Amino acid sequence: MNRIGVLATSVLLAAACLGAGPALAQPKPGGIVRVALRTEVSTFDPHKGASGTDHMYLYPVFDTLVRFDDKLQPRPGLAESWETPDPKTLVLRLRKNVKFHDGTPFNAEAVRFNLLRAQDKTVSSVVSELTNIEAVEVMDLATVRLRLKRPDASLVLAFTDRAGMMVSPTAVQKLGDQFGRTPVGAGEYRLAKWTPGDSVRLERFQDYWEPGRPYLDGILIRIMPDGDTRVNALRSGQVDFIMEIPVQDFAGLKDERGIKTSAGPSLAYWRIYLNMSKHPLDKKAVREAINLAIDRGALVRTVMFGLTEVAVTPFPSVYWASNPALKPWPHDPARAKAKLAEAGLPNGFTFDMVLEPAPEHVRRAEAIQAQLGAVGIKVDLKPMELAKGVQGYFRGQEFMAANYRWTGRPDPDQSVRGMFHSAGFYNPGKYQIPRLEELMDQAKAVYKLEERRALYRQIEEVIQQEAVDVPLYVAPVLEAMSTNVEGYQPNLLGKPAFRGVWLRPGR
Amino acid sequence: MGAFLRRRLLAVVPLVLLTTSLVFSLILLLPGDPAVALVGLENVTEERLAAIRARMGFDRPLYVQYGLWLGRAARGDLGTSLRTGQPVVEALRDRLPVTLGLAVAATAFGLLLGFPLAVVAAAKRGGFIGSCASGVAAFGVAVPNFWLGSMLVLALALHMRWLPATGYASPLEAPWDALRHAILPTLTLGASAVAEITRQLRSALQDTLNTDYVRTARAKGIAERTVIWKHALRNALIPMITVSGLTISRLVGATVVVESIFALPGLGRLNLESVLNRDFPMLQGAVLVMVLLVIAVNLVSDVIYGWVDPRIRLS
Repeated sequence: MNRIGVLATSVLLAAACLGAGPALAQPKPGGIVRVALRTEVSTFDPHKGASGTDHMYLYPVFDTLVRFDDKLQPRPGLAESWETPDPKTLVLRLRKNVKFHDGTPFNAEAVRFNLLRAQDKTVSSVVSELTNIEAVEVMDLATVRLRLKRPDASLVLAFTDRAGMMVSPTAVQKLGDQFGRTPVGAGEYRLAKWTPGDSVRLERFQDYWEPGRPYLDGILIRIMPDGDTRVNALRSGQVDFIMEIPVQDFAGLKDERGIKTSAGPSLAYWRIYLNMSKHPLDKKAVREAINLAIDRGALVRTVMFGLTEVAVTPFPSVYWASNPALKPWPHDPARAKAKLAEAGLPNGFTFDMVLEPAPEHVRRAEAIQAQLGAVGIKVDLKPMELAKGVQGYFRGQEFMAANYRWTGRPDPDQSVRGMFHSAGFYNPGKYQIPRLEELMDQAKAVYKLEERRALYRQIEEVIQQEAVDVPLYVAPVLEAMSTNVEGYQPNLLGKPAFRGVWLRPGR
Repeated sequence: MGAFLRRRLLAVVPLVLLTTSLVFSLILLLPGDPAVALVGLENVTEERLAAIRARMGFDRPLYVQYGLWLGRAARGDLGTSLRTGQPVVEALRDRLPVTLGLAVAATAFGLLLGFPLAVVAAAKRGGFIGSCASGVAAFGVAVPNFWLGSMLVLALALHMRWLPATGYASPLEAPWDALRHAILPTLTLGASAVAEITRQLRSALQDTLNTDYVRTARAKGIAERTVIWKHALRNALIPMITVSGLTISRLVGATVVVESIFALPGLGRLNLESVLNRDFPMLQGAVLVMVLLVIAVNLVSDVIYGWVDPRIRLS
């Protein structure tokens, strides 16, 4: 077991000047927490936007039908409960007495409006998550019945994401295209002011349905694209919370007075995407050779400063669907060479790999290049700007491989289907393993978490046996905050939601 | 003077047309489909792409797109951001003052410090003080501003806690706060301006000090101080008008880096973000403003030059 020290979602308290404070202090209402984020929200319309970095802005404004816990298991949200009387029917029982920010009542009609909108191909970016919904029926004001084309267990967790974010129907009708700039949801906070390029100010929604919540008067999000700038802003006390901390700065922050850090795994992981329709990557022995030639432990120690764990499957070890029986690929150059010979390539081969041009990405790719070079596999690195590389690799099929991050999805089906199903968008070669697709369909058709878990464990086994994945390491969630910030819960998506956060007075 | 002004102004029109059409077509040559960038790769449906392309006019020929854009731009409408739906004009109105303020402040700082440094370097050439002044200038040219910015933040914001590390405050709403926020970015951006101005003025001054009329003045027994400040400096200052203009133009470009380091909501960052997001209307607007700004600065410095030095406007 050479899995590098599993970093549980532990919050490390910095040298305690406040006598380490009682961990279970009574939340104190009031105050504004100031947050620095790398990216600006693209649009506040949850259904239209596509950026994975919008969620930190969307979560406070839009309540979701379903919430998730620290293992990403579904929990009640605006839907108090749900049931599946038969595999092709999903009934949602809604919370009553919930209002949108504009006073519009939240009810079954609103859910129907939202789901139809999220299915509309001319406006929605989440169509693919809802393709299996055939009809949305309003039973009564607090009950919605979804008729499905085929069983789809991934819907429940899809409702924790954009597809489950409820927008006010009256506001959408009134505002049209401007909704994305003046959003109306049913979340804990409402948008007070958006100064593009600079900041977003959210203020407490007084009529929020959950008594006593939220604790804060507001959240001020400042946009700081540069990692060092965010660190400086926290150190100088200009903000209370930062995320996406550069790995080289993290150790220094840990020891700083008045700052506490949080490091944990996420559902995102770094991998080599292989276009398996291209020769010789279509050969299993070649893919095994690549996997055996890579020294993941060395990558974690050097590129990541030991701040994460080696990736074994598409899921981090703490995720509910992860298979704990699987071991990471060993670093075994001799066996890698043997595998190459088995594939009829004793002298190795060459493939090209796109990557982002920033230094940290080039460092990682060069390390991989050296490790693969040691067994005779030559890698031709193609650093290029992200939008160009992504379109070239996934749409244009111009390259044999790509070294990108899988960003992680709430439901395991979304991840494995996207990357390993022959119809998956992130499998550009449309490479097919029939056994894997059978298992995916089975796993999607059962709703009990235990049964699903068993099937995903099998799926992960097949993925490793067939060597269709080249996992490298889990993308860590590195966050830091002032010791005054209490109640923060990191999540596996690596997208901070500030639910439950409160401020200790005396800043 | 009137004819000179008219000539200069007329020359601006083809310049603006040429640069904007160039910028317009270059932007469309950027790899990556803006419609795809907007929707996200995974959920691209042809219906959605067609709807966006039609709304944005991307389905029309390039010259038609340019013509329509130019027509609207002439009426003050630069379209709306593909990403956020914000009117481009509104974004530019908010961000231009940040960048312009920063560039002007940095140039002013450059003049304020570069002026005496240049005089010292020229007057005490070869001596210790003169060498120090030249050294400062060389350092300012050589040091990259992202490094200087980080060091200033480390020393003055994090260590001494004298100044805020990041951010912007509007001088109209909070003058004192705005001043405190402006100091570090101005120093960072202005370092190269100090160097530039020092070096240019020093060599102009040295040239002037070697001319016959200065020798005559010295021969008349006029004090060295008067020779430099009253006789030599006046003529040496003429090239400084052009140098200042060029410096402002160059600094407007350099704000891309400084605005990122200090998280300032200016034009430089708007440019960068628009490129990365393939937000074409915003990018076109931002580049247009930068182009106009540079043209305007050049025009103004040309006019001042012509006003100060009759040889220019009469030739």
